[in-house]
Amino acid sequence: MSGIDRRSLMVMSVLGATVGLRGTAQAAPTGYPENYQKIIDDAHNEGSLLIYSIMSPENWRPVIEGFNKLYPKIKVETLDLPASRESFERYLAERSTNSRTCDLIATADPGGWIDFQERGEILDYASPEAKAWPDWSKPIPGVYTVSSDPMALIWNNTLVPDGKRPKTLAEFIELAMANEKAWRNRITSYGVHQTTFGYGIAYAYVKKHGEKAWEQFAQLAKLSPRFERSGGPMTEKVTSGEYTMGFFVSAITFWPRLNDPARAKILGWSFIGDGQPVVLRGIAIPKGSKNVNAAKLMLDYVVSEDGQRAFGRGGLTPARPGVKPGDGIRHTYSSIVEAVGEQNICYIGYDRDALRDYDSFVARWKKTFNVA
Amino acid sequence: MSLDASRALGATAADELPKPLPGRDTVIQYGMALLTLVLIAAPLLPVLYQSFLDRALYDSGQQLTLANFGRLLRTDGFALVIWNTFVFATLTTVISQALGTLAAVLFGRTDMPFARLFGELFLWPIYLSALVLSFGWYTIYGPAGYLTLLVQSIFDGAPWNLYSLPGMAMIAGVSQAPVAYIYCMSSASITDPTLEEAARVAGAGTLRTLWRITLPLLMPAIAYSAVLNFTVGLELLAIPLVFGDPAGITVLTTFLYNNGVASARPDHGLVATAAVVMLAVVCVLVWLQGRLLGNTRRFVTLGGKATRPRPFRLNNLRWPLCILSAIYIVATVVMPIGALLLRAFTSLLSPMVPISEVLTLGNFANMLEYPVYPRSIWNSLVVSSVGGVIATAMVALIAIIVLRSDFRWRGPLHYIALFPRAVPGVVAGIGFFYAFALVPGLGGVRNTIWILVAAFTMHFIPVGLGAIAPMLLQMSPDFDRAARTQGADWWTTSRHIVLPLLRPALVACFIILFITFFKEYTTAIFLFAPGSEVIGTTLLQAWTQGEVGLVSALATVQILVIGVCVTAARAFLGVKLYG
Repeated sequence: MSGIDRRSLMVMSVLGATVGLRGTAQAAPTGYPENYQKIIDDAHNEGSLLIYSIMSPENWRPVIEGFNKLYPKIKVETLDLPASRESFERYLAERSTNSRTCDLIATADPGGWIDFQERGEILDYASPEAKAWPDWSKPIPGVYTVSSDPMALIWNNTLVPDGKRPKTLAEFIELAMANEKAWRNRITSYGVHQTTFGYGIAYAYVKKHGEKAWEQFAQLAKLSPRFERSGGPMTEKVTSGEYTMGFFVSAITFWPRLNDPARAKILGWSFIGDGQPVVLRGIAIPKGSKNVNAAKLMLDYVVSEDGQRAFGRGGLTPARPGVKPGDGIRHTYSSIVEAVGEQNICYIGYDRDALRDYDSFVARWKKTFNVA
Repeated sequence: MSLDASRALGATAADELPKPLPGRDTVIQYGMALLTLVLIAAPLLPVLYQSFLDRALYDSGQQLTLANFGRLLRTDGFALVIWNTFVFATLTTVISQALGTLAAVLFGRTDMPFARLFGELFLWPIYLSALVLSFGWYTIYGPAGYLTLLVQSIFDGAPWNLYSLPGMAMIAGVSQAPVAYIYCMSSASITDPTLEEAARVAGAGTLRTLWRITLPLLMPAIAYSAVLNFTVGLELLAIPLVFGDPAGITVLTTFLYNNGVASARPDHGLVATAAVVMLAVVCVLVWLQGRLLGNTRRFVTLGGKATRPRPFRLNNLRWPLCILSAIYIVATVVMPIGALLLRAFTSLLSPMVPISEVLTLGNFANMLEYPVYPRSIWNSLVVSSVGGVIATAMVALIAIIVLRSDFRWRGPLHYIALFPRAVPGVVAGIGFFYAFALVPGLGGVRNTIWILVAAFTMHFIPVGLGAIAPMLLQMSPDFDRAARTQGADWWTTSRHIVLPLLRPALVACFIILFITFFKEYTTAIFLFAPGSEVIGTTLLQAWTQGEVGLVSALATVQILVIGVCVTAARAFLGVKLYG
């Protein structure tokens, strides 16, 4: 498990070619419709699959291994794009210039998905796995859910002593306010004005708590938090002591790093008991897909029990109800619900209001935190 | 070539030569001129064009408009961006000029112990990229840096803050000080020592001589390198990105980066317009630089020298100044780079954890485990070596056409070839990105390293010319004339006489370009695609993902390769790098 924390831009193309090639049995999974065999055959004729996603190769590795056990002859390439909206933008730019583009998109950007649907770019594919999933996970025809990743509180254990460590955002703020002078510039989070990812989290939290959330933000603003674009630098800088604490930090970016015992001693974390934001990662086949059958096979695999466990081992948080932690999986949707209670979860959902309110929300955020 | 043209050029030598039929020579010269023109115009025209369009230049239905300029001016905080950029560049210039001049006098003109050694070490920041240097500074002087925490534990709070304009300018100033140093040194080496002797004879002390004679004579060099450093300050991306961005300090380059690369929906109109503004400013500065260089000729101190310049005597100050210099070198070069190397071999570097607990080769193992990192190292090597050869060949041809032929358009060609000096790396990168998006059929090149080779070559033609031109100018044209009177055409002469004689300069040019390409990142940041990453881009990617261990490991590789190159070039080949 060491090193699944790499989250950089890269293509992984080797696994597909090397893992498989031995087994040739490619029967349809049990319980799938009869015509599925045709999809498998066509997919093998296509022979390759290009995925744009916000996930790293390490996230994908177990999934591609599992996929290639079923379909050894399909070569899978993934491209990790660092910003959640980028998968769409890249696809659209390439489609307009008729360049080669991807066959499957997986990213955490509800607003982007809504926009993508309005452009009519989503293939309405009915997966045979769909019935195992609840409604919140199937927001738009053709869009399914890969993972439900929680945003957490983190802190530096040497700076935040045992007994003071927060379990809720309210406690987090209380602790921050108690150190208002000393911790100036030393609290971190995503900048709502910088990334749509950060926007989604803050918007969902405000939607749950209303004006109270803005009051909390205003209190935090007194410490002039430093905003980052990604969870990696937050984790790194909290570990080094540059920051004392971070809120709404994507848990999947630091969980793998806790495998290093030296770091685990320093870095502490908690779910957020009074409002646990959960980012839903969507997956769908765009209409410009050239290898549409291979894309269908992958989508079905990703949302299957097996594929979900594979992504869990790859560091994401499986969203399919019923999948439990263990076997290299730290948490799942089910275990988060157990930890904080379903009523405390804020889904960063496919909310059209979030699109409508973007400008005014960001303006208020900027004013609250006095950032440009 | 027509008679008129020869006369217009006033080429006296050309008239005496037999005129071979226009054939090969003309084709090569026009071909090369055209290639140079295309290479340099290719990125600039699309940027200009885009700045006047109301939507992305590859979208359909775009219309010409001036609205982008108004929109840019009205953009929230743009005035602050301009102000920050100005302050940052000014502070950088002041710091680098002060340090560089001081170092030139101290290491070049005094009897301080170890002056030569310090001079060598002082140059190191310029060999490494500002990107690597800023990571090094972060590890030592960052808010959680080793020295910061140490000082904090003794006093109440550290007296420095890198997340501020002065803090950033300090790093930039240190990394640019070698430029001022080099210009001052070369200026000092050609000034007439009798002027100083005269002052001494007249009874002036060391300080007075320095102040009244040496420094004024250095003024042209200081002014010239000041404009150069100001330009670099405007163009610098790494330092503002690493330190300015988290603190909310935006300068023009990070504005372009955030709106162009990091933004999910790049506003191409705004990006191109800001790039045009930047281009215009730098053009003015480079023009100013040309004027200043022209003016330096007025300070004619070059002539036969009767005496060697006598080093200034420091007397009692010799050792204190030596210790101060050592502290400076340790604080600005040895410690940042050393800490970065140390970080590469540890899983985390914090005074709260003893180093013995965190020593590991894991960063390198990780680096090798994921294909992108070895690939970026490999790509960097290919881009630098193959690209370096291609660029050297091109620059050599341009040089002999401009300086050693009667090509009709050699004047304009020279001007064009030097023009990239006025093109910031970010602008060149954006421009090539547009150019390749615009021209159909180039899509295949877009995701390969060859677009990087093209962009780097374009951007660094002037650097290459700077390495070749001086030797070419020193070479007597008699050799060429001898060959030409024997009936050889220009190309035969060039191939058999001029280029072989130029070999040392060509080697120097290649090495300089190799190092420059190897550490370049600003141009690449807009151009790389999956598969065509170079070290600079993966470094930045890894940094934005918080992978400090990987950053350090990659930086170690880069430092190692450049270190070996620089040392070998200087020690075995005697190549004079920079200046």
